[in-house]
Amino acid sequence: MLFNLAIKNLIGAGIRTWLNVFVTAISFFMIIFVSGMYDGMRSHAKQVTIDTEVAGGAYWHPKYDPLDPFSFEDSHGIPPDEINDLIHSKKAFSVLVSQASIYPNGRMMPVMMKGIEPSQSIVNLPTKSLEQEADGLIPVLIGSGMANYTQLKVGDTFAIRWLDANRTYDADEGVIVYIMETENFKVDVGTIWIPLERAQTMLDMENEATYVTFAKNISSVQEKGNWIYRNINYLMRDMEAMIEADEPGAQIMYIILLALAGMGIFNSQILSIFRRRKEIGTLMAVGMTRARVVGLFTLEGGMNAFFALIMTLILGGPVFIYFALYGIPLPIDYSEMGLIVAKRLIPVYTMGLFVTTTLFISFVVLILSYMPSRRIAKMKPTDALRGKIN
Amino acid sequence: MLNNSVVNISNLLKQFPVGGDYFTALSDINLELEKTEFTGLVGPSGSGKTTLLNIIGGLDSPTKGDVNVLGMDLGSASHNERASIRKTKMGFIFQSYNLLPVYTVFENVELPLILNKVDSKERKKLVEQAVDWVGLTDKLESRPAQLSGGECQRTAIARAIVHEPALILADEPTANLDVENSHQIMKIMVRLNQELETSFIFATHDEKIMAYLRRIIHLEDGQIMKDEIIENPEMGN
Repeated sequence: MLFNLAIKNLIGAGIRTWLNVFVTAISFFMIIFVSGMYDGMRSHAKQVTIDTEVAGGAYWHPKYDPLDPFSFEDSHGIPPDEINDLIHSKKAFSVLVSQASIYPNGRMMPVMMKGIEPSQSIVNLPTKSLEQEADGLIPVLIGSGMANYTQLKVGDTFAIRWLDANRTYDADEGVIVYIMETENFKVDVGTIWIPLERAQTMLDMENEATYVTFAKNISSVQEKGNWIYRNINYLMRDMEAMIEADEPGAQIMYIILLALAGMGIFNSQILSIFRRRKEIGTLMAVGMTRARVVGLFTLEGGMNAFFALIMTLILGGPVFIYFALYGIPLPIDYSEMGLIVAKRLIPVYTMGLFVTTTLFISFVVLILSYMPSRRIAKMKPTDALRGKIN
Repeated sequence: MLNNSVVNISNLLKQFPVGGDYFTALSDINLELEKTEFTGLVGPSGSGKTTLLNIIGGLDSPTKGDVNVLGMDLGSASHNERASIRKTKMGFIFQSYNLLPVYTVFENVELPLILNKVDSKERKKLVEQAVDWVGLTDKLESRPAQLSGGECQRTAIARAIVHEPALILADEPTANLDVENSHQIMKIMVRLNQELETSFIFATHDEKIMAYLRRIIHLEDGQIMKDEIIENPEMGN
């Protein structure tokens, strides 16, 4: 019975109802849109990191600490046999890390020099470019961020200075053979990539590596010696921490949008009760109990949210589908800020997002509809009939 | 209380808090109304007639005294019990019609039947019958904003009678109507009173209504000054 009355009231109120529904639908749309964007950013950042850096995991030299450049001098060795087997069967590749200085355009700049097997295809880096002939110079692959920062272009040469295994400084000329476009700033900024064999020769570390990255779906080896197994979860923990640090921002945005939607509903409920005092009195006079009148108004608020959801799906659905397929071009290059964000962001709209958003918002809307409607329970029918509110 | 007594009030006192004090709206009211009576509570503004009507209708509660309406002691009844008796056995007609603006005539009249959980087929029949009684068959799909004052009040009467209540309470039902419409409305109510044996209580100071009443209770300053039985009302009978 209340349902039919609520439907009649909402439909009968015409434009007033649809304006309320429209405003709520905009909030719904924004909440889903922003949540989808955040999810898209996160999943993209994870995907890019796995794709270009982490792959299936890695074995680290026991002294390797990527956050401590001073550890690089000692963190190298010949990988144990079983790990070497993976490398020979192309299921893994070695990286030899060392500190170096480069002198582009007369400036000095400390970098992380990484020797990588050019033929590897486990991570999505254009390392094949390192196979090209460089007239005896060291072929160097850098990211576009690094190129921007150093003002280096393909074909530019510059001096590289490094400390070899004998703790002797050496230097040689390097040439930029390729500048890669990558969204992963960790393989770009402050890093130069050179062929592994060349690095091993330069550093006097024949067959040695700092870490070995293996392909996805490769099970861990039994005999890894004192090398440390690092799985994806471990290697992604920085990224997870960044995402977690970003979580409050997303939540604040969510709360702001929800508060906007909530205020709209709360306001329309208060207005509705204020405008419809006589109607409330009449309903009580014809025998509706206060609890049922409260129920009716709460239900109207709830149905407002339901209509808003339908409107969001009808009007916003095509927009969601378009963005999910073609993405949203971002005006800023976030990699310069140390963030892994695509230049064209593809939001992720999952069924879970729709269901949880709908359930949560419906719950909030019901509470917000109920709160002002409780005033009715305190209303005297005689006052309501006179249009008075107490 | 007699078997055909509809309203039985004894020693009624009604006070309203005003500031730190109390305003006495009704005092020492003793009244008995029988079935099929066509009674008016008459008096100037502030005499307490609407307050008395509201108490009889269970919309307000007495400060002291016994109020028994249609077999229910309203003084001790809960909100829900009072709502229940209004729903099943009473009908209300208001000065400003109090129709629900977003409902059509049909839906407004149908409302008490929905609350009484009458099935839809029966509802349709009863609504059409009630609307026919008040002569609004051609306005079933109209909304209150599309009706004249007289038509609105006739819709309100149809809403009050549709569930065939034992008692109809009308608060200044003709105050917003012109002379012709007032007479039409009163004639409809007289007919309902006679044919459906529904009791009517009016709160009014409209001379036109008084001409139809068979009993007039004069109120002044919250007290009954005179209780008059009219054997041959001027109009309508």
